[in-house]
Amino acid sequence: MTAVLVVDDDPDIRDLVAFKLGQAGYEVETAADGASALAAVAASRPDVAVLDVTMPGMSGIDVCRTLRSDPATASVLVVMLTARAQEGDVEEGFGAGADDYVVKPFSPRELVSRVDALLARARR
Amino acid sequence: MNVPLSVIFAAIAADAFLILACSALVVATRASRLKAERRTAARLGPLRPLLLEVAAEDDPEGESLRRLQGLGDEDWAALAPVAIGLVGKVRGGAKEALASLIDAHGSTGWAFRALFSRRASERARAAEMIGSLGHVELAPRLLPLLKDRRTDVRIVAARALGQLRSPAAASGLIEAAVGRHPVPRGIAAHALLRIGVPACPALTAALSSADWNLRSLAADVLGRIGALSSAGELGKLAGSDPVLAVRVSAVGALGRLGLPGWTGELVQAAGRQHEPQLREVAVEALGSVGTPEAAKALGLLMADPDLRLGARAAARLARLGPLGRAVLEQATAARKASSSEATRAATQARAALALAAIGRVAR
Repeated sequence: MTAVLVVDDDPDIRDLVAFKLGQAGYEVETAADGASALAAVAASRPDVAVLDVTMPGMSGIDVCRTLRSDPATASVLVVMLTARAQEGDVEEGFGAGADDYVVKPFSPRELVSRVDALLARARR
Repeated sequence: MNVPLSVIFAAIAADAFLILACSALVVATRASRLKAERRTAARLGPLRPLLLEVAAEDDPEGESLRRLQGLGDEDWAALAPVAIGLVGKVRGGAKEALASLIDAHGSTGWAFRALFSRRASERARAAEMIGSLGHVELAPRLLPLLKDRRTDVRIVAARALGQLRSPAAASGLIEAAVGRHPVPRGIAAHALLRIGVPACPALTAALSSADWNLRSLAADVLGRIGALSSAGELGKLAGSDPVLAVRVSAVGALGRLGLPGWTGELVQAAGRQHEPQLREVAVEALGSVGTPEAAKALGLLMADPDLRLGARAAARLARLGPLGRAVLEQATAARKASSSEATRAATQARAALALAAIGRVAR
């Protein structure tokens, strides 16, 4: 089963994204901050990480950079899910190594489509 | 003076009683709050999965939505903060479903009335709710709150208008950035950006405002929106506005638009006769335009006596790809006997190329 890690400090968004991805057939794990996210990746090696950018402590950008800098986790697909929609924010997200960037307010249905598409491209 | 022992004991006893009473009050308040939180959590437990089904659009028969729409007041009071919090963070079908739930419980009606509340917290909550629910027809009702006596209310109202993306709010948001009770410029700009292209007519009109703050704000936002049709007006401001801040905003905006036809104006703005602040923005803008003429100008600017500006020009060339690299490499060819300008340019070019070689492009 394909595993997805959902990282967001907002419990409502975290639960909503986890619920939607779970309904779509993914095995979902959640984390509330960057440090817990890195621990979860080290323990269970998910295929995809959905990262909020603005979190207390380590930001999603920091988490993404850390994942990319370690050969063991560099292949985890990363989707940024954030309210930061400025051109520079998106540039920073992709610059950190994100594979996709979804802006809040978001459509849960579209988020699942993007995760599906990302995985399909990676498996080609 | 001798104080009788009985008086001292009485004072100590009174203090001890006061401390005990305060402690008991704190404990009782905390216990009561904890009890209320537990009661809310207990009510919320079985309702939360239903709400997630609605928000995730996984309620094809509408059964969960109907059950939530039929909740009693106490259950709804527990669920409302979660539903209202979520509705502003999602869009599409998820937003519509949550909005219909919130409307069914009369919260929109409450928000409409609360806009006129004497309590600032209620006015702010009402504005936030209207923005989150996407009731664009209520945008005109939010406009007076942009002049509210409380800063927090003005900020929430501006954000809500941005969420609503109502073109009719654009002029109000621009005007709200100045005056006795202004909306902070960044908040107004962000709201205008969210409105986007429909805000352009009001923003373009503001380029000829008598207030330089508004001219500068409008230029900034038009550049960020990418309003190509405003390039002519921005070009005029870049060259001739009497206020430096407006010229800086206009030059920055021209850079963001990236139209090659305005390279001449940007080269002009980078000239040595101008203020350092304007020249720096012009260098960035030339890098964004990225035409051969812009690259050539950046090559000349590397030799500037202002070493920070020269370094910035070199860094922008390094980010320009093959075109910028060619200019940098040409500059490094300067010989020892060359002029001081050529030597300065060569030094800046070598530094930029060295940073690029190790994957670090200065910004």
